[in-house]
Formats: sequence, structure tokens, C-alpha cells
Amino acid sequence: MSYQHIVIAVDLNGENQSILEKGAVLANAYNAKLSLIHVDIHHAPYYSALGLQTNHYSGEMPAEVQIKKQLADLALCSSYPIPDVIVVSGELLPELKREIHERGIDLLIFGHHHDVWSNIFSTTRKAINNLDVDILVIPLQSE
Amino acid sequence: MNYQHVAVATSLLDEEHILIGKGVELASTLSAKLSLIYVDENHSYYYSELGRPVQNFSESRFEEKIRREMMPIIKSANYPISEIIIRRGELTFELKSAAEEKGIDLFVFGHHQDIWSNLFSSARNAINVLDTDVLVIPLKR
Repeated sequence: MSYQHIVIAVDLNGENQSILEKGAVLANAYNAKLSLIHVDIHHAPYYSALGLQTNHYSGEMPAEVQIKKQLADLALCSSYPIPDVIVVSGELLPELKREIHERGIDLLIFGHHHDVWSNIFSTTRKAINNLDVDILVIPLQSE
Repeated sequence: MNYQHVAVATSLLDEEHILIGKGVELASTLSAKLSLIYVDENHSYYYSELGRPVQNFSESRFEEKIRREMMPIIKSANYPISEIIIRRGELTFELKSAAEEKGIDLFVFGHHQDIWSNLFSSARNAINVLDTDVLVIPLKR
């Protein structure tokens, strides 16, 4: 039972190079599919149900398109082909769970900072406590 | 930059087979060294400094006992296990120093998904303290 689909969780403001590299190395070794995922928790569609507009001002690209473009640029830097970038919006865990199920993801890669804030509120911590897939945690150097 | 030395953190329970399996698979795929590491937090040396004798006798007997307990695991793994690292003391501190000494660049941890583990898990501790990559495997109850 080896990994078939490895997905790197990307933080748009963060440092992604080191986790991209690890992902590429592993995907290469396993001959697995490699993808990027970003869960946009700030532009959740359900806010619109509360009467709040997901506001992208006229002339600007919608958030999802913009993020997709950012991820696609990242994907180009990878040494291993990344055919798919996945952008979903909504709450972190349900969205991740759904994607894992639908796309047959069996390894998620997260970067993780070593500070008090990350210790308590980290997405990585949420992930290891709730998801049914293996999770590779890469320590990130805090600036 | 490939992983060179994968260490499975074991707690000597039944579910270890899943972890060892993952470790074997990783190490063989990446052709890395595979080790087992066990940290005994209950028989730390430092208690003796508090005046409490470490009440088992001699160091060698303790290690022997752990090694004996690990034998079935090692036999059932179909990949050479290059080292069995047994340490006593505080978990993350010992893991850190073991990682430095032995050049471990990936730890494999099991993790239960219950409230207790959410708050006090060694996996959580590990990802917050270690400078090494950690692979967290969800364990079913």
C-alpha cells in the first residue's frame, strides 16, 4: 500500500519552497500524483447566505481565480509535474475531508511554525486531529 | 533532498504494526535507513536526583527487556531495521538529541483522534518542538 496521491497544503503568504521540494521528492519516489491545495477560509460562499457580499470589487478577478493563478505559478516551480491545483472555499476541515474523499488523497503535507500561536491554533493540529489520512508535518523556520 | 534515516516512534502497543508497516514502506521506497525509537518517560534518570531510586536494577536489564518486547515487531518487518534506539527521559528532548546524533530526518508517529490526544498527544508535542519532519499516522480506535 503506497501513496497514490500526495497533496501539499499551500499557505499563500508563507514560505512554500521547502514543502514543495519535499512533496516532489516523495511523489517522485512513489511515482504518485502530486497536487496543491488551498482552502480559502476568508471567502466562504456561505457568508453570502448571511447577506454579506463576498466582495470583489469591479474590475478585479474573483478571489478563487486569483488564488488559482498563484497556485499555478507555484506549480510551475516544482521539479515534479503538478497537473492539478485545487482551490476550495469554506471551512477548513469539511472542505479538506471532502477533497480527500473525492480525489483519493492519501498523504497531505503541511508546513508548521514553532511558536505559541501555532501550537494552539495551528491548522496542522486541526488536521492531525480530524483527518483520516497520513499527514507529513514539515517544520518551518519562523522569521 | 531525500530522507536518509526514518525512525518510527513506538510505544510498544499492538497498533505499532501499522506504524512499522508505514515505516517499512517509506524506507524501502526511499531506500533509507529504518530505526525504531522508544523513549521511556517513566524511568527517567533524573528522578534519581530527586532521591527516588530508579527502581529497576541496572540499565542493561531495562534495555534488554524493551529489546525483547520489540523482537516480534522486528521479526515481522520485511525490511532491515538498522537500529533500535532506547532512551529514557523527556520525550521531545530525547527525540531531538537522538535526531542529531543519528541523523534522523523523518519521524513516524501514530496519533489517536480523541480529546485526550488532542490536548496531550506526543505527536502534537513532537510537531511543535522537533526540527525534524514528522509523519503523523491516524490510528483507529
